[in-house]
Amino acid sequence: MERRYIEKLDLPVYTETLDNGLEIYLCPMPFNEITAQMTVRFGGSVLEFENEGKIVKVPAGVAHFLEHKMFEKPGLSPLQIYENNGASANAFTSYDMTAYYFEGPTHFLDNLQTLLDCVHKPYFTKENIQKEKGIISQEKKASMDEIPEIIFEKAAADIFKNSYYKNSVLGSLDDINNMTKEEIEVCYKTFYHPSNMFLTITGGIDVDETIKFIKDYYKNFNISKKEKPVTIGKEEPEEVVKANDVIYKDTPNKEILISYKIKNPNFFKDEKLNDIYIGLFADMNFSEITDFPDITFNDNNILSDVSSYYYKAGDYYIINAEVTVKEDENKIIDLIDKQIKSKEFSERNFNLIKKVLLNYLVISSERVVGVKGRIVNDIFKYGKIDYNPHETYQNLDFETFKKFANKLNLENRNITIVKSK
Amino acid sequence: MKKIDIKEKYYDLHIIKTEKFKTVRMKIDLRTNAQRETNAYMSLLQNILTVSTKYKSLKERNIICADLYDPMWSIRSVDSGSKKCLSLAATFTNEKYTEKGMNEKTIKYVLDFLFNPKTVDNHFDKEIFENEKTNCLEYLKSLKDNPDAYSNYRLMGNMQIYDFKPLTIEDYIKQTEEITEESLYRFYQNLLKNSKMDIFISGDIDENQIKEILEKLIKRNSNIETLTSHYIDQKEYNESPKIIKEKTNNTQSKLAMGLKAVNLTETEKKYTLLLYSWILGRGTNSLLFDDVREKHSLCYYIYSNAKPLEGIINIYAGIDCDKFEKVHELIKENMKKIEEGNFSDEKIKSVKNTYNNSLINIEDSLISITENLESQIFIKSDDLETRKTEIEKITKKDIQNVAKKVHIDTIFLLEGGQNGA
Repeated sequence: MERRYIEKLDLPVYTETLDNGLEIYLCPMPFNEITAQMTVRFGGSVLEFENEGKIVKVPAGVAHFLEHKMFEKPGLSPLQIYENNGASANAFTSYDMTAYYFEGPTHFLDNLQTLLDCVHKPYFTKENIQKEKGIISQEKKASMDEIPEIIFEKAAADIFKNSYYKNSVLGSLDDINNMTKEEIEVCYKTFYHPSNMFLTITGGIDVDETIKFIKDYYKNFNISKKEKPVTIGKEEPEEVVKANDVIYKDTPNKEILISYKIKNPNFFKDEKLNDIYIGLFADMNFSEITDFPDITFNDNNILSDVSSYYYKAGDYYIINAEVTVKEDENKIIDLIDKQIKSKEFSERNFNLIKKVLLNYLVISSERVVGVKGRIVNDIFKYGKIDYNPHETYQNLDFETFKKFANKLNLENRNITIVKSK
Repeated sequence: MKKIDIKEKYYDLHIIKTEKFKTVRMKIDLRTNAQRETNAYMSLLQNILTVSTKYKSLKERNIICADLYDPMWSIRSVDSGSKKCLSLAATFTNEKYTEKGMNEKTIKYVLDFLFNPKTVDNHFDKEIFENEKTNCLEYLKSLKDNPDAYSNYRLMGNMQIYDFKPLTIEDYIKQTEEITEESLYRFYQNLLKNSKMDIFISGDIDENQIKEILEKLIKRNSNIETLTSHYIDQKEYNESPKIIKEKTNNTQSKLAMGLKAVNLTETEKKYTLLLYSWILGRGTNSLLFDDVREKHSLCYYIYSNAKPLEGIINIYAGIDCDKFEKVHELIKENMKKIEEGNFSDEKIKSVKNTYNNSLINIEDSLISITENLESQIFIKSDDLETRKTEIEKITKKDIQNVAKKVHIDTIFLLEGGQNGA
């Protein structure tokens, strides 16, 4: 195992890649709580891959369906074992990853074995797949009644022409009901290989005991390393498919989502810096230290704050600004648009945001789950851990930020509104 | 970890010294008896205090916050059995990791929200008051946009829990409409005078410094010495449960069910009711999850939530409308199963493990350390060692006995499309 410290946060990280390709990241911390997560590089939206020289196309919603089915075993389900050990556990599927995790201060090795069994010992039958359709359909139906979910899904379909990010993670009710055992098996075989996964454990662990246990576990499997499946790229134009859209729903208010589709300027070679600066750009325009809290509070037509965040979709950044109004929607849309296009920034605000980010780094280092999240994020997105995040944030620079902001094209946007007829 | 209790003239101060964390946690609780007439006052007050400040704008308030290394703070009114509690909570980075003098500055910054609101001649600022009142009213009037929250409000508005008539959403709206900037200010003054105040501070801090800072900053001239017990003893329930159904255009139906636990003993209130509720519907190993979701495929989520202080348990599920009778039957069957002892010893062991792990995790965060001390002082919870021993003593028979005292009292169904069309 290689050991390195995350500077200034007193966090040691042990890393090793097993012969079967599984990457392991262990971070012992002086707490009782332990959390472990197995991350699979396969998510709900990406539907075409190249694997071992062959094209693999998967149906919409299959990654999420598979996530549900991995908890099915002939005997006790992993969830029951975790519960018996007093641990909490769950899994989630996002656009491009599926993750399984548990949190619990006792019965660690039993929980860890359960996590590994969960992803490596599938048990699919026609009956248990049929049964799951009712459950996942209800999960889908709940999301169909939630305004934030409806508006987000519609906007994504309007923003992207070819990108996988237009696909919903759960799939449609039809996708769910048409799922077959064969499709699920193909996906399992293609993506649930140790070479396509990584394991992250943080908290009150003994490193030697943990790594020995993991190695012993894999001795029973005869799996050798292989190449990861590769996503087949899709050319995505800078324009949005549809600039304005309306969804009719029985609601007393209007929900507005404005999405800016921004080509990654690739200003920095280091991908993480592009991400940090685009996050800063969103904060500089819409965070709590801008004029927006007062604008929304003092205008009785505006019923919520402007909430803003960004996400990355292949070569694009999407900055979303969402707000609820009573009647007129144009005034706030114009204010948001003027603000983001003005590219006028105060250095004082820049330094305040930087101060907050640096402080958050310190606070998050004393949370077992927070540290796990930081490591997973670094590995999944950038393929390496940032061992000096303090320096990364300390070096954020206002002049550089302004140059970065000037490279952003903000002309392509979609506005989606949910309102009653 | 060292605990110090100091009885000040107008409040009780509880300090926990520990060097394990880089942050400091502060909580100020003002407790008073829950009353029907003052519910809406409490809700509006918690919001007004965060916006009616001495700063000239919200932006300025937020900029100062960021400059103080962004303490996380909130003011909330929470139900605690027969009491209402207005709480100011803050977590901030210890000055040992930022700059000397920051602890005092930060404590002053957050205390001002509670003790130094912006007022004019014995009332809150009219413009700020009206803006916030409108926000509160709009929130209540738009509740239907959030089907889960709406269903819960509807359930609580129909269930007799306190010694006063339950408050419906319409009652809340009416009460809120009647509040003026003068009456809210009188309510606020009265709360400061006629409540019990406790202050909790934990972290790597100097108790003398904290004591001095608080003496300087807290404006208060009285303190209620004793309060009656927080526990509400439920004695009656609807023998034939009250069922309310309401139609919507939603896809999914929301079931919210209120159960009453009548004539509980001390031990049952403190321990057995929780274990009963967990076996019935907490997590993925519970009877309801096993039966309604896994076996019958009728929902994505179903869970129960025990509120021992109120003597009630709520059950929530998202289902298809035409499956309501079936789900209702299954819930009754599973309650009956517990009553008859028709559940495994493993289930008891499992919930006891979960309970014990929650005790182990307490020392991992300042928030849970503070909460634990609050519950020892406010509701006379046993210390951790006693809790471990007491929970171990609970038998299957004890859980069956509690089951006999739990009755379905009120059911609310928010009806979606018949087949989820």
